[in-house]
Amino acid sequence: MTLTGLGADLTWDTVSKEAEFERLMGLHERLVLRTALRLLGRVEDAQDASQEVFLRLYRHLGAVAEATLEAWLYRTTVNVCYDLLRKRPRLAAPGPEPAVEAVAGEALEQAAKRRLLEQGLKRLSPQERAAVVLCSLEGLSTAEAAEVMGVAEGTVRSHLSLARTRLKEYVGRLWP
Amino acid sequence: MNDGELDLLLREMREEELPAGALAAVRAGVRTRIRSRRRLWLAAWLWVPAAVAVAVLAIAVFVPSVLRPVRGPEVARRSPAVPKIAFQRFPVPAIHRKNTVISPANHRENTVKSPWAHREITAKSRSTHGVNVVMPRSGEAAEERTEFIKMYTDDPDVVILWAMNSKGETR
Repeated sequence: MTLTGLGADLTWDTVSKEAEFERLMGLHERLVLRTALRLLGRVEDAQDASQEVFLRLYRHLGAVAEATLEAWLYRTTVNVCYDLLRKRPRLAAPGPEPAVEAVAGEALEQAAKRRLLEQGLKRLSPQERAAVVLCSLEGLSTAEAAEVMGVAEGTVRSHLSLARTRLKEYVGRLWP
Repeated sequence: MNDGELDLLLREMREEELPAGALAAVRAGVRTRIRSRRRLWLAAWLWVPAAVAVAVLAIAVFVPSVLRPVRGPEVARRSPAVPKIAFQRFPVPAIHRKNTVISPANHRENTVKSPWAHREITAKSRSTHGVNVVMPRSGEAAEERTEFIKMYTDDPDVVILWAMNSKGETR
């Protein structure tokens, strides 16, 4: 029996695999794209990284248990982003410091501070950035982040502490 | 900036929405890449058997000619050439005749009569010792000559000597 899906003739097994993949991609695409965007800082690069992550998921669909899928996706996303940062040096370059002007209103002030924080994240090392993204933005514990990053838990704590200090210093220095 | 302010900013960042259309672009990109990958596999499934078949055919055509025994050079298959017979002409041994002197100018015999001229020299005469000498009998021409042919064979220890006189007698 053949069906048509994804633009090619498929067998029943392939169809079921495609359906399963589509379901998992729909469930986790936000997680992957959000993490990649915070690690890389640019939407286009984050999209490239997310596509690579889902292609890897497609290849290893039968080998990854759904219970551990989230951790697998985090780990794969971090590794793919590290690879991209190595291949594209311009991603690792922090760029010039932004000129910040005082804005009226609390909401605008917070938005401006968030932009500063994003700039500050780009100035961190990839490991420090990953620690902040996984623990402070994605809400993982340091143990989970350590497993994702493939380092000791103490290393994650160290990266996290150093990153927070740098971020506070950066935003406090630039905010008028 | 203190830790509280930083945590507040991080919490706000966590709640930020992703750019519109970014997720759809990711899905489209993933589907496109999976489709092209599947086409590549399909092409591989078609082309690999064809390539294998061509390779097998090529092996079937060319390998027997490679495995055929090599013919040796023409010379090696011939029987060895017969060794050349070396002809060597030896000087005719002098014929010792007591009463005969051969003049080199006209080859005419000038017979000197000796007191024993009435005696006829026979083959049993003492002066005619020697294997290759043919003694002239009475009344025969004095120019009787013996030719020797020495034949060398492959065996250096074997030499064939062939003697033939002017009458065609051979030994």
